[in-house]
Amino acid sequence: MVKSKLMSISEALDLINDGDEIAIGGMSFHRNPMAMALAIARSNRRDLALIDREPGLAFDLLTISGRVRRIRAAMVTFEHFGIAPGFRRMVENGEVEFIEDVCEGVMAGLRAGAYGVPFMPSAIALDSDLVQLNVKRGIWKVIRNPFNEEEEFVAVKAIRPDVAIIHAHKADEKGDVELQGPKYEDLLKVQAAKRVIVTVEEVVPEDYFRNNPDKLTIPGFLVTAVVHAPRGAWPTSMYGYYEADYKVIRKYFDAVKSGSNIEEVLRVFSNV
Amino acid sequence: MSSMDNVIKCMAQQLRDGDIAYTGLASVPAVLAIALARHWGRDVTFINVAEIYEPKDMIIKVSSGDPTSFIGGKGIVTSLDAFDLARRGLLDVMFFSAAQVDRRGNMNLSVIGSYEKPRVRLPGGAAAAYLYRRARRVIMWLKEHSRRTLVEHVDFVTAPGPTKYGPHLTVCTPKALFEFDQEVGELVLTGLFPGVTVDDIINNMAFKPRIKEPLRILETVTAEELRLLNRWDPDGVRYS
Repeated sequence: MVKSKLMSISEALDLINDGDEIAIGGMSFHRNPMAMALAIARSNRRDLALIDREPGLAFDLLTISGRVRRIRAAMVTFEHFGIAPGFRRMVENGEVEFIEDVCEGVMAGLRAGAYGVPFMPSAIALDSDLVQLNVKRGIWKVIRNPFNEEEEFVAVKAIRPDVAIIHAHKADEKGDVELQGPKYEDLLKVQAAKRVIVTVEEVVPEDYFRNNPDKLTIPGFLVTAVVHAPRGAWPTSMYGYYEADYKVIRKYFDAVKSGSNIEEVLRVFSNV
Repeated sequence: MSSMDNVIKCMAQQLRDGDIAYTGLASVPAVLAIALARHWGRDVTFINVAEIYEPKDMIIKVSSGDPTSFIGGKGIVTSLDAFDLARRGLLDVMFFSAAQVDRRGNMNLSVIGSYEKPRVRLPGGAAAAYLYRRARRVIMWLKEHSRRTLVEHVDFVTAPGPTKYGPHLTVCTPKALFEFDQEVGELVLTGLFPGVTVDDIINNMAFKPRIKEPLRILETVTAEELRLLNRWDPDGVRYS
């Protein structure tokens, strides 16, 4: 008898330990794993680290939640609203450590993690001021091309997050997942991470995939937990299901920018 | 009409037939520049951070990564694939903005002030430290033509300016057009908008650029183009 991977959000929370590094799915205001991010923000987890390429709402919320000690990203933006408000406040006040990366660096590191190799060559410009900072942090290294001694490049150390959290469209209880539309780096995160939590809009019977085999995006053996979380990306968008709720995101932006504490900020998400 | 509409037209005019162009987050002016160039009949292939390939139409939202903003796309092309294309040297155009750009074309999207104790922590450079060198051409826009955006030396080099090997860099501001001269390694003033004087340009920046005479007079948006920009972007996100 195969064990079901279907569990509640609080059971999934038990898969996250203090100090874990968590890769967050989605991007900007789109397909963020909000249900899980809210659960973490309300939990007593400590000293978490976050990683994503171009995160937005879920990442910013977790950054001010008090649960997070270190964040790594290439850009944390609220786009045409302005600089991500929690990110800006916490980094300027020195309350979280920010590891400033580059899209190329996050992608290369996740690829190395997913491919099972120790590092990945990159095309990061050697004369960016970020190079010396991230070499000092031990996540990048300038090395010679073994096939052309005259060429130097930045090698990015493999990223192997403890946990990846992705919001997707459909899954069965074995963890087989359908992810529609834009993928961002979510498939690399799933492959690179040690544990994978997938929250879904719909739980479907196994026959769904047997009858529509081309719908399978992630095979169940890569997935640790499936959580049924309808509207679990709200107020960020869910491709094919619902649009971003920019009024609520604006409320969050204004609340954080005006200095509200985490309890007040969480209320933005609770009274709808 | 606002000066931002003219900046968008300046950006659109840098696009050429056959270009493959990519737009990132917080890049509504770049998305509109592509829409405008395509409206003029320029054959530009459009890939973007929303991962919606070759949309037919658009309705601008606060997020230029919003997949529902792009209508009638032909499928999904991921940013991973777009950036691989650039690494192979095949991405024609990338758009960037910056908090600061300097004489050498270095750009800063990281911090204002010192890195450890910044006065302003900016969002970070995203793909800049890579695509700013690997795209064939970079089209940069500045919302503000001022001493705080056009500086002698950026506070932090998020992405270093072009080398003599490339890329080709142009900068559109509300007053002027600059192009990077690969030989001298500097941004050179090459165009200005009607009604703007050279003094007005130079007095509002923190370095004195070389000037390529005769200066080109840049075109402003027509009533028809403004009507289109308003149709694509009815809420005026491009002005924010």
